[in-house]
Amino acid sequence: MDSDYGIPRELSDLQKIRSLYQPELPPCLQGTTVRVEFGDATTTADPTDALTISRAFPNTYGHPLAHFLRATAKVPDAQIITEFPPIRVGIVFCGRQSPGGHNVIWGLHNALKIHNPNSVLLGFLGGSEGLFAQKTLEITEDILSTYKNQGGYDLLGRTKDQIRTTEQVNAALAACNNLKLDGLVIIGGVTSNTDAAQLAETFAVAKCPTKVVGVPVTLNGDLKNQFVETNVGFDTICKVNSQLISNVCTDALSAEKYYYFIRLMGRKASHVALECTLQSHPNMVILGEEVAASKLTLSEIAKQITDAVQARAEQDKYHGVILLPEGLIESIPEVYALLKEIHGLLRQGVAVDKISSQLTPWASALFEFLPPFIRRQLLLYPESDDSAQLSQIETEKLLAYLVEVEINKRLKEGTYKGKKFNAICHFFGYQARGSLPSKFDCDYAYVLGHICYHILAAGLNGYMATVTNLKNPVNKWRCGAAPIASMMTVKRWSPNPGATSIGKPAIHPATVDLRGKAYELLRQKAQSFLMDDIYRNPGPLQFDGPGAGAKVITLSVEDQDYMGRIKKLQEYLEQVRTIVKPGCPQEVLKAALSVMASVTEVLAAMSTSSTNTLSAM
Amino acid sequence: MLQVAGMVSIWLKVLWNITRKGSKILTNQGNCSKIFELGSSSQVGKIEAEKMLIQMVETELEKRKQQGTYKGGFRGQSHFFGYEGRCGLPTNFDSTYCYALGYGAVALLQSGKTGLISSICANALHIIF
Repeated sequence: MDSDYGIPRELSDLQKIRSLYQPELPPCLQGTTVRVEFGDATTTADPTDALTISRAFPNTYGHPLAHFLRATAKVPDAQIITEFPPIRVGIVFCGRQSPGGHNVIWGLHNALKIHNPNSVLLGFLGGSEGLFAQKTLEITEDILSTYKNQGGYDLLGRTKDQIRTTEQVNAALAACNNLKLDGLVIIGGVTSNTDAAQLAETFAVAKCPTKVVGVPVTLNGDLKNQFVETNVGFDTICKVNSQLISNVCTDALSAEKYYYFIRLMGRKASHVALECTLQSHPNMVILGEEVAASKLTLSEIAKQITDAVQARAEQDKYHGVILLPEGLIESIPEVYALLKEIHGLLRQGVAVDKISSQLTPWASALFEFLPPFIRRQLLLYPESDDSAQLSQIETEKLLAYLVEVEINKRLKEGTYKGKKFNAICHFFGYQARGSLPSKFDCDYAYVLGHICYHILAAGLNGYMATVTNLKNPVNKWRCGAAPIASMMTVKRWSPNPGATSIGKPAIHPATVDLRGKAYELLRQKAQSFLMDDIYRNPGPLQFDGPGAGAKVITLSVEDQDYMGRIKKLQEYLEQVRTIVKPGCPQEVLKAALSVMASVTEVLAAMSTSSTNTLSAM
Repeated sequence: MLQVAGMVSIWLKVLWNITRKGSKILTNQGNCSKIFELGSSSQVGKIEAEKMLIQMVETELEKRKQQGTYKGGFRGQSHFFGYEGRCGLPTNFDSTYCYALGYGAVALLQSGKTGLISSICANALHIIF
């Protein structure tokens, strides 16, 4: 089994061509004279979380942002790193395979070797379990040659995606000490990077010299915050899925007799579903976030879809395509509560066939209402991030079944007069996540790999590699690093109504922002998508020529570059400091005081307002 | 219909063998009943043969485990590749080929022919009955 990792492979012609593609580096990372500038100390998105997080992460919270600059950048106090001693770095795939993951390793290896050929990069075989067992493979140019710009995680593999229990953390600590690692790079999504932050804190407490670095790689696109605009893998997954979805749309339009219910992989949040909708224009998408915000029940969702089917039937249309995120099932309040009960019983060791008799009466009623296939799937043991096995729950079949029931009911009542409702169900997940990565994902991952090196060279612990300004060409990208702890939030929940308890800090999956521009775009077009069949086929993923440079819509439509704006703000503050000095004219001083007082007042009000809004949600 | 009938007879043979062995696969009514629901060839896409095969493999491996000849695990993941492929954008080959066949069809019509198929091979347009 282990001997399969990292072996040279026979590549197809396309794979060979792709393996020769050399991603570009932004100017700030080129050469060996990269400079690092430290910005202000970071804080959390929600100020009320700051105290809890700082208590949980005393050694890694509140550290400054790092910006990586080109040698000629005119920044007064940037540090130039002039010594490059050989270092030993470990790298591990956590999280589900996402297209582009291999390029993080390539970028890191490239950066290590150009700064000091004696540096060593060790890949842990089989993901986190390889880390615990200290099974390594030294990465070389030869080994990398057939994995550059290729999909999957088969260079090193992955297993259980968790570094969390005391036993696991101790095993990781022992591995880093025994292997004398100067750095450990963890590639993954929200759960893996939360584990990375905890590991960094543990290493700091234990005085372990290994620095822990996280990389935002996840097809789900849910590791998104002020510092991280998008994730490696998301671009590819959405493009590949959109091709498949639009083919099905054309199929639906051709035969005019089937409704296709398509569930999309993407975990709890609906980023993939939203992006694919904007790219391929199916008739309908049910976002988990809308369901949660409106507290829709299963019946209400089915009714919503049935109403759509009926509206189309009145125009003599009996076909359609409906997208469903896999996390939808957990966004439905009563199903979520049922799942919580089931998972609680499973963890107590209750046998699967005994669970239904131990549910509370209302949960039992819902369980009995559901068709047998869904019951079996809800009884599956939860994932390592404590959510249901979303990929295995056939939500699309459940909804198709409920819609059929509703339509048959309306036929009997005489309120539906159209033709028979035919549904075909799909799950698009595994076939997309193994794709060759897009040009964007190749570039983004390679650059992130380089940034990992510079984080380690700067001696930073508990940081995540970040790139902002991604919607612009590579030569405009801004490279930096942010403390992972600054990306955390604290979810407050309680099993008992009225009681209050404080949860553990973690990077929680970013939900689709229902006030964001991408969602607004969807709302504007939703009615037209539903009725007009304006299906759009973006075609296969393009690696060259027109279409190769296309960015996902949810990235292009938003105004981001948070890091760039932070720097701009600092520049303005520095200018003020330069202009207003002791001895300057009285008028200048008065004007500065007046303006600063106003700005401070507005910002304080906004900050409070933001907190209240977050609390209300 | 002949094709479907042939397929049904094959499945019936499989089911007969399963019944003889007393396999527990018969407890799953979903997959088996779909076969007997066949009414026309348009239902071929709904036969979940891949799920039946997964269950049969699971049954066989469970048997081998009890016999001690198999020690690993097995997790089957099924997916039907049909609808998402058949309406894709055509490749250059398919575009060129179909365009040429269209030309062939016109030549046949202009020649007053009927009941023929247009086909293409190297350097020539051949006529086939």
